[in-house]
Amino acid sequence: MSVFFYTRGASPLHRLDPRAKITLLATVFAALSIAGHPVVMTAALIVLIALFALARSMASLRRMGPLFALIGAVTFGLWMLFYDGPLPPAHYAGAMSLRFMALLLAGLLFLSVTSLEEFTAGLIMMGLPYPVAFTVSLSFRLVIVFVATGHTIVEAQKVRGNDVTRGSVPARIRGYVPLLIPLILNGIKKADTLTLALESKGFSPGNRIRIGDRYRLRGADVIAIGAGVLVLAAVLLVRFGVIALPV
Amino acid sequence: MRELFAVWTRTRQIVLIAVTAAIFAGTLIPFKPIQIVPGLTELRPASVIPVLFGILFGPAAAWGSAIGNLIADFFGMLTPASAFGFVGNFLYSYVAFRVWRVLVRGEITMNARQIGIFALCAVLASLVCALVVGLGVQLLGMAPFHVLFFIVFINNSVMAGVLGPILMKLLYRRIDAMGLVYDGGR
Repeated sequence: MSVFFYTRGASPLHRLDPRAKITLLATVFAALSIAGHPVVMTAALIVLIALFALARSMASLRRMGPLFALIGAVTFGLWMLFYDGPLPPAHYAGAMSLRFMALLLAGLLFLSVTSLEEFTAGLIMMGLPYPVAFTVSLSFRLVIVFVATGHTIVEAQKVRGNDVTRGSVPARIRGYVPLLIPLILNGIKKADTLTLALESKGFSPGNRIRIGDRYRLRGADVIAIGAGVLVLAAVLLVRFGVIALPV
Repeated sequence: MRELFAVWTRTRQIVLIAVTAAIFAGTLIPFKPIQIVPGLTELRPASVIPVLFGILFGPAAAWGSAIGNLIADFFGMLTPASAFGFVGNFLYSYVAFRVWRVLVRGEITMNARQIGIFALCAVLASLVCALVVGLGVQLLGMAPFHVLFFIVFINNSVMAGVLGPILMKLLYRRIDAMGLVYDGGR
């Protein structure tokens, strides 16, 4: 099982250009962050779940669904306790809870149809400086190694009787020291050797990379970006009262 | 301010950014399920990394912490709040670095005075991080400001303030011997 959510596929969402996927995610995030009406949020949730089906990424949804539902419930409870604005608390808490879940679903859908290579390529083509994009890409690759190392260390320490999921809070905090030391030292040693390895292969922060030939914006990408902009515009019209929705 | 961008021009500093990000995310993820407010914050012993590495590696650690937090969000929690997490964790590491630089001159020995200063760095950095994350999350309507501010502030201060001095004492000499401690960009 991959630690990330991406699965290879040939769905229309998978085939979109990385720039279109990133722009679409940004517009959907903006639209959901502006929208405050429960009807809009509910519609967004339904559309997003349909898009998961279209992308054949229901496995991601099944994996994270229970946690997202719990997050929605906690968000609702927190706003019921702490909201003191002009709206009925249940109305506001419901809208915010739906918004949070919709935001999480939009993010998860993006992660399910976008590989790390596409993500970094998209960032580079959208103007992110090469050293930054390279670092983000390198970090993603290293983290997979460190997560595995982290799990191994946790298990090895459990065998030695150091279980940080049990005991008093101070004892658990102290218990993290033998977990963190090997993980940190392992990583630091990699920094030393990785610098040499990169330089010996000709890496320099001043290097330029050309990847534009591998990606091309097609009609479907333009339609997807246009749809995102239209959704954002519609949400703005609802938000500022130009389009009235039932309360 | 120039030091923040100068790190992007040197290979070793770029590698340190990537390694900090990977260690931070790699420590966040195995402990991810211990949620305090589900989806918003969790028991994070990894909170010690930005402060500890900030003091050791300087601006590279600040960028690494920001990227590491974003990577952790790629494990299913990517939302617009990730942008506030990016800025908050950047400042979390950078504030600790700046405060330490102002108050400590010379070698790191972790005597009683330096332990106190480390704790102060942790508290001030946590305050800034909690303000940024709390305000961002409130702005997006994802959680009330005071709830998240309190949770992030307490979790970060306690984890960094308690674990940090112990880890610094155990790690400093080894990391210094590798020549990786930030030397002011020289």
